[in-house]
Amino acid sequence: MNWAFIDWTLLAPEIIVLITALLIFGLDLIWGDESERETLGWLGILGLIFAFYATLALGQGGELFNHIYVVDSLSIFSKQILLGIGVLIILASLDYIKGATKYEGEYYGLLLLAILAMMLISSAAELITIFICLEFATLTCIILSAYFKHEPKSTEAGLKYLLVGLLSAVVLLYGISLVYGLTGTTTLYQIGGSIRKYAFQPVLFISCIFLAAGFGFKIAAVPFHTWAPDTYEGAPTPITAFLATASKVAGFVILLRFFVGGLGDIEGHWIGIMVTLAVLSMSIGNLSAIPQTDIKRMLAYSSIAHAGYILIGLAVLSRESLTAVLFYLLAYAAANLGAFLVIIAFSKWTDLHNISDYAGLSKRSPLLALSMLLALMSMAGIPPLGGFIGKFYIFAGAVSEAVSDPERLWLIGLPVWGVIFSIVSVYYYFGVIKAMYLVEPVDTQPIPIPVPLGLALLIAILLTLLIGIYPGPFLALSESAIQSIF
Amino acid sequence: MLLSSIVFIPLLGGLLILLMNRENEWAIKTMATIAAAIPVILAGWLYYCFDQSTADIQFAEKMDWIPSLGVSYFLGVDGLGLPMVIVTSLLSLVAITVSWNIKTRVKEYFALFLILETGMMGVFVALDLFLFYIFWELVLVPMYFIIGVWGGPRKEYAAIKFIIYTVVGSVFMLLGFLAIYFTSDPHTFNIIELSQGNQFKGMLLFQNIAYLALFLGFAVKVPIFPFHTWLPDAHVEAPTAGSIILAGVLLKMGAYGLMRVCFPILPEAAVYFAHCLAGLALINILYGAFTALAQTDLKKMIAYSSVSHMGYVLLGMSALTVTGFNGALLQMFNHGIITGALFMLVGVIYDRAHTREIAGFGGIGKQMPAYTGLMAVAVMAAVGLPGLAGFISELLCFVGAFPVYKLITSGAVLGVLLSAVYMLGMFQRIFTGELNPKWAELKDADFREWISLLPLMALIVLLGFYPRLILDVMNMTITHLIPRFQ
Repeated sequence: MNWAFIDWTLLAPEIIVLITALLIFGLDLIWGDESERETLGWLGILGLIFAFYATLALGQGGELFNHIYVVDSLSIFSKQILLGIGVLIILASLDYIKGATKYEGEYYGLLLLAILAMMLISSAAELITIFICLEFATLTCIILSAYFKHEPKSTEAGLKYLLVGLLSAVVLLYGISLVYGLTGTTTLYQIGGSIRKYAFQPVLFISCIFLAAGFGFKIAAVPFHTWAPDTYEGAPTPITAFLATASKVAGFVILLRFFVGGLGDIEGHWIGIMVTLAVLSMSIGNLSAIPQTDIKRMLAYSSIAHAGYILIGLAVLSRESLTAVLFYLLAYAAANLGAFLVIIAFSKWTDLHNISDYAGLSKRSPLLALSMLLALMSMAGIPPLGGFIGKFYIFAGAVSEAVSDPERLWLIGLPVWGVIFSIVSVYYYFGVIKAMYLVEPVDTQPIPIPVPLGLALLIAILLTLLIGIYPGPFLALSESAIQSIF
Repeated sequence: MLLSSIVFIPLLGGLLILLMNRENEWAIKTMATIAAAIPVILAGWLYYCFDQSTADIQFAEKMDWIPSLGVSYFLGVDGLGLPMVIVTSLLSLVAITVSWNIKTRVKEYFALFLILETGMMGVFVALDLFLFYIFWELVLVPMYFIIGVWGGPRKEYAAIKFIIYTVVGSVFMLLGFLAIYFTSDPHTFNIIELSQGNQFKGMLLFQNIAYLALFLGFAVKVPIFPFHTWLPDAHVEAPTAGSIILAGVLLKMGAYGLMRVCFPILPEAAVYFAHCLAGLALINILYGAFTALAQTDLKKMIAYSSVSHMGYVLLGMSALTVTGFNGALLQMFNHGIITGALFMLVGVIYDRAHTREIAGFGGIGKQMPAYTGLMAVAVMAAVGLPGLAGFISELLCFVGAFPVYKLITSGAVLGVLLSAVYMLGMFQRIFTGELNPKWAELKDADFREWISLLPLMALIVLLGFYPRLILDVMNMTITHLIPRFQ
């Protein structure tokens, strides 16, 4: 390989994040004063912002190493979301992590590495590379989940993630080997071309199931979701927020790239899998969320349900529905971050995690309560918030295909199923709203909002509102992103 | 800009209130009253400028909003919308003056009320299905809080029941909108284009399915038996102003939706289901009346009387004649002001006596003569006494429906008789006879109560003698609408 022909500028965002991460580790080692670790967090934010800036300069992108690593509009879109999430998570962590652990500096370094891993996932277009990047992401996330190593719950969170992650990795690897056996290649764009169209191949179907299982772990789709509630509950809350948003974005991007981009011509092999995952995730996610008393567990199940709604977009497989997938991810990430940021502020101050503990939050801290209200309403799909437009677009895509093609009329079942379970979700989201607004507080002490966290919260909530009221530019962005694979 | 001003001035007022100091309750209340009074003046101006000789949309405002979804910001009024705009602005102002005695969480209360007004107003002027849906849902959350925070003993149950019922209806309505959008050619959400083009001529099956989906959403709001069970709970638990708005405006949103969306866009389905609707109307009228007869709680009785009186609206509509439609729309207007007045009067006595048990009163007439007089006017109007507003509209509904449904209309007239029984029975037990010594301290209606009641009373009498004030406004629109059902 001739290294001179590689366009290194395409990797600029990843390189910037990597250098920042290494810099943080290095400074953490040589910096004597333990109390100054917050600066490293700000350094991380700076690095992420630079990397974001670098993504803007990528233009049309290109490919590296013979299509092993592609920088297209989809991966740029995904990287921008990931970097944005990263900035908000670090802003929220600055106060949360201070004094909570001895290893503050490494936390920021690891977080940056996790973001880097997910950025790599968004660009990986070759099965071995995909596998390595997924493992990279899983490993960093395990360490971060178990970061409070003296708390049993945090350790449990890491362990669960590790075990289920390993299992899914093995399954994924087996699926990859089957695909390689069938096609003789691991590069996505060659796989699509080398499989005979329209003929149903049982082995390929099985390998699709295995790969869906591997990716399904990342997006926490039922039945590969069992790690999510425990890990979400036990992990440090900023990490939970990170897993719920960034990990899901990366998971869906790889799902899109492999199935839609790679196997888009032989969709008969995998559409049924997506339908099954979507229906199961919507039903089980929403129903299991109802009895939860811990707010993080409730949001874990709700995030499983959201994965189900998004999977409808993949199952429908049209330009509109795939655009809707990306748009929904954006709206979902903004609203979910909003909710988790409120939880971070609340739990840091009170050390309480139950939904009933949020009683009277509207009196203790009107701003936190209002932010939570808007975030939950967005997730419940109530207009005029981002989540509503997302759901609307997902369902619209399905209805559009169903009424325009009589042979696919069965697709109408998916949005119907989706709206039925959206109603269920209204019930449990309003459980939190009820506690915050309708119930009198037990403890009337006000809750302070640290300035960086308040800034992050403001960004997340304004974005949720903006996506809902003026979705045009975000739709355009999602549409141009999806054009690179469909 | 006139319609946008009417819709968004209350919202602006609500946002300003959120920025005000919560200690300064007088300023908040004044602000709210001003923000609710301006739309009344503007609605009067609208009425004055309205051209009664045309069926076209007037005061139209149109802008692209989300071009990729074909959604536009499209407002306008015709003979259907204008009466509703007037009644909404009037009742909102009345509800806000009634609420001056609210003591807890004053700031939130008035802000929510003004947001609620924006939602209701928007429903009656939106001419784009998507926009219509946004406003429709915007009503939901403020109402949830108004019932849930300021309501009676079972407020939490009533609030969540209200929201779940409404959401169940509205999500299916949304699917119906999507089906209409994707079946129309070219795809459009524009209500006027959809109603004029006869888009779905001959597609009876499609029309029927779409009709049922939309009907579910509207039927919950009206409410049509058997979707009415949320209504008694919500009406009884809501604070006085909330009940006024619920009965006066929210129920009309359902009937308006049928008139604006269901009937004109899906005329063949409207004809197909007309008999069913007439049957449901009869059930509503008789079931509501009998249930009202059995109530011991004053507020609950009036709530059930609303179910019965909305039945006349449905009966008038189901006939698909000009007279019937005129009667239905006029009945919507009249029922709004009459029931608004009734709920307000109930609130007045409940404030003083802290009970609503009909049997617990007696001889109040001697103690509160002015109040009794006001109540007498409202009760007589609800019974349908000639010379007062209710009589004209009920008569028109019957006259319009009789040629089409002889048996059903004959049965429905029984409802008038029953309403005389329960209304006059209530009046007799509360106001006549020996004064219960427990109530010897009750004060008569005060200045503020007079001020808020007088406009409604004046309208009741005025429309009783000269209904053309409203009938002339809607006549042209309805005359143009009815031939679509031949």
